[in-house]
Amino acid sequence: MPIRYNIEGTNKTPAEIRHEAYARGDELSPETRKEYFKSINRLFTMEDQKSKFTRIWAPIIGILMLVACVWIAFIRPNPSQFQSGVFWLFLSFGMALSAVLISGYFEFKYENIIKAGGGFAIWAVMFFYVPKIMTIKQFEPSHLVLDIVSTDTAHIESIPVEFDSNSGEDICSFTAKELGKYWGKSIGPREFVNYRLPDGMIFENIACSDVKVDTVMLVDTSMAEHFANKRMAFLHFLEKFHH
Amino acid sequence: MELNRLDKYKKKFKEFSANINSLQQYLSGQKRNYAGSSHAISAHDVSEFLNIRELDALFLLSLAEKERLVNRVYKVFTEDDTFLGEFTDNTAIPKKLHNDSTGETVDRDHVIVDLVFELGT
Repeated sequence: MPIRYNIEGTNKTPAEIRHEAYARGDELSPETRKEYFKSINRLFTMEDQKSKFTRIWAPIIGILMLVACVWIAFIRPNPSQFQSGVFWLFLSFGMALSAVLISGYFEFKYENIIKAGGGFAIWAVMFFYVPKIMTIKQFEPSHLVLDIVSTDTAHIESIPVEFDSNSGEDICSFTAKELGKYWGKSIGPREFVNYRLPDGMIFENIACSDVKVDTVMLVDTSMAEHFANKRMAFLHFLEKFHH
Repeated sequence: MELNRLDKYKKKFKEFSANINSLQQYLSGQKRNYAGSSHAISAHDVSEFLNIRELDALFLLSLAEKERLVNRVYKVFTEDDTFLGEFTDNTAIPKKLHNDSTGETVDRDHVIVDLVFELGT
């Protein structure tokens, strides 16, 4: 049974109301009749009267925005705080547009200032209630220090370099390129062993985006070969220069 | 509340020209009497004041709503007149409603809806 409306003291279904409206319409001029039917229909129809944009395009755009956010999260695993804010705004718009697909009505009130419903309410919730994970200070190295053991093993030269923590480039290629810039000569990625400080893990086939430290120790490969293994070389130089 | 926004409809819907005039007077009176408080107008009240059919009153109120002079509110009641809730859109009325006085759930098919219009600010 459809919803009944209290009209003229009796409970009528939308079909009955429409029927009465059509009967009344016969007494009206064609222009008025058209608007009359439209108005009565608009008040009592239970069909979704959302526009084509709201029904079709809004959720499509919303879902594309959510997919884009996931994709961006993979290509920019270490966003800056500003980038995180932009992603969050983008994500909240995507969620709001996708909310069309969720049935029911959602209302949001914020400190008696803002009252919102539907998709706008979803956006407002996301905008005003940022999860704690977004506010945790993340490690965002934009600089990397290259600690290079000199060929005479007498000292360490520290070179600070600009570092893109989102780059997919191999860290060994990156450090070789940076050293080449400083020393004015071409250096191959295998000429130096790249150690992670402070634990000495050897970087091999590791992308810059996965380097979660701010200092890398570089030891000439030929020099490291004088030790029993590369690990021993690291421990030797760690004790000599970092203790 | 700019009631003169309804003036354009007097020319467009000539049959209702006089009624629109009366509606403007009615809304103006309501606005004066209930200034600063939310007050709901029913099509029944308007039909009595204007001496027209309730459907015609609904038509006129829908014009006023178009001009943002009033806002639609669907008040939902059980068949024994217990208030269940109010909605700004009838498509938002859920299939099951909770009756706070009995704690039971009421099916949407068994409710009565009163369509009223709240005065805009």
